[in-house]
Amino acid sequence: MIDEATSRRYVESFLARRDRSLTDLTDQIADSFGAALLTVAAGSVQQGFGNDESDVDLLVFVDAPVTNIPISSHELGLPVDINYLPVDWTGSVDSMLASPAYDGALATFSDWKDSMRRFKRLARLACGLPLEGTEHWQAWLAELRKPVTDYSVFWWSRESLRLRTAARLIRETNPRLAAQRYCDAGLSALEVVAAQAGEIYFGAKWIQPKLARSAAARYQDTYQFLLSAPTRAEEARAYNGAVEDLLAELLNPLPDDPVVQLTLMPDVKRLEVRGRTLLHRWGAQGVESRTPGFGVPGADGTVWRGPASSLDEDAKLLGRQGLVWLSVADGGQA
Amino acid sequence: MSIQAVDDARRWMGFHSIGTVHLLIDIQADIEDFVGAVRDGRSGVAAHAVRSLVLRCLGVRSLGAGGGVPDFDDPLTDPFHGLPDEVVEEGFGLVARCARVTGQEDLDEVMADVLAYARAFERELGFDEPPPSIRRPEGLYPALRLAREILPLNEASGYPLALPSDWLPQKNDKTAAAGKEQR
Repeated sequence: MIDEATSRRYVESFLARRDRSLTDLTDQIADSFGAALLTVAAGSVQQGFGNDESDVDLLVFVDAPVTNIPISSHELGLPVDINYLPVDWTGSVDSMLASPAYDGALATFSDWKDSMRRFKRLARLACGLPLEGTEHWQAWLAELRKPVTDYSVFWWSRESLRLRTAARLIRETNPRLAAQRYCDAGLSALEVVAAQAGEIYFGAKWIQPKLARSAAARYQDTYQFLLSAPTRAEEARAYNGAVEDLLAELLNPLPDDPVVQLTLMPDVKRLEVRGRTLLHRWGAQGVESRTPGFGVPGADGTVWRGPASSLDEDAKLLGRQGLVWLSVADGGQA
Repeated sequence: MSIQAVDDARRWMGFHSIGTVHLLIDIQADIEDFVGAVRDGRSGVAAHAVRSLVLRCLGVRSLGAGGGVPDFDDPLTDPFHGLPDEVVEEGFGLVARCARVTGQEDLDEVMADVLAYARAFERELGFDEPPPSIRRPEGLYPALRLAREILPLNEASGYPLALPSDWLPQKNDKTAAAGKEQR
């Protein structure tokens, strides 16, 4: 975890190489949405990861409805991306941190995607560099780090569990693909380790430098091992077993048999003809069934829910055909 | 012969249109991340960028070879479906090599092979020269023009629109009905 002075030095030296200053940077903020209540540098440059071609990312809170698209500027001779955020967004942050439940709310692909985007912005904000702001909003930001660190550990643990569950479902039939999923689960577990060491900046590609500069530096070899996932079946099986052991070590206690749920992917359509049901997505891959009511979600919105170990071949086929999204219903043992 | 059979025109359209969007938005970013990381001597970051690049190139190739529309968030679908083993092995061999490098010399050596790998993918999509980069001021508008060129192909394929919604021209009802944004 870097302190504010170090972060400030990273940004200032990045700007100085282009004969620019922090004032030049904050002067890029337009007042079209009213006065900025809080301005935070929140990208790779501020973390010390950026290179000469990186852009500078600013998060700017205003008391007005805003565009959801980053405003890009090259006026300073370097790319600056300004994300304006309505100050009422902070209300959703407070409620998310207060009840980080995974059950139900994150059942669908769209839920997961929204959650990931919110978490990404939140994690970058919490370890960002405040540049300007009112006393109230600077104090709000200063209080964010601890709960967001806890939330990061929670979010990445669940992500690792979800990916390990997927890997287990396919490891017998497709060990090569399972190896890639185990790799993803292992990388998520390293994010947990990094977050526990205070490194919460969200950015998959920065995991190794985050580990290197933290108390978790010993896991750099693990990172190298994870990225060397083999493609031949026998080697992949050995790799998959090794990652299982690694996850048990890093994420203990991780539920061995979590409750999972399957929900239909967006754009999945259901057609019936003479007692046969076709479930398909974009008129491409699908499945056929003669079971009445096949593919109709239950009252909870899922098409399957239960312990991961009891997922049957039909459920696995739905997954292989890209028709369902797998989520972990809760963190407990089934 | 100067022509060749296309057995599944829809898949051909999907490969070229969805593949071009992945190239412009994600694969080029991976290449730039990789080159920047090599220049800074960050082998771990470089290896991560190569993995992302390889997964995306294979996923798009799979779409052309009988697989589904690549969805890199979905852990249950197979982004290598329909691809020969040696094609998959070539890609992940590069990732493993990059992950194991011990010095700048090794890294520079891997870089040549990674860039050749990426260039081969660009050629498969019909780019004799590297396409413009949306992350550079001079490349943004050429890239947007390119995106507009492939939009009719994407719509005709029946596959989901791969372009981000803010890249699309103002939709009329007919266009909106053709497909929903997937990314």
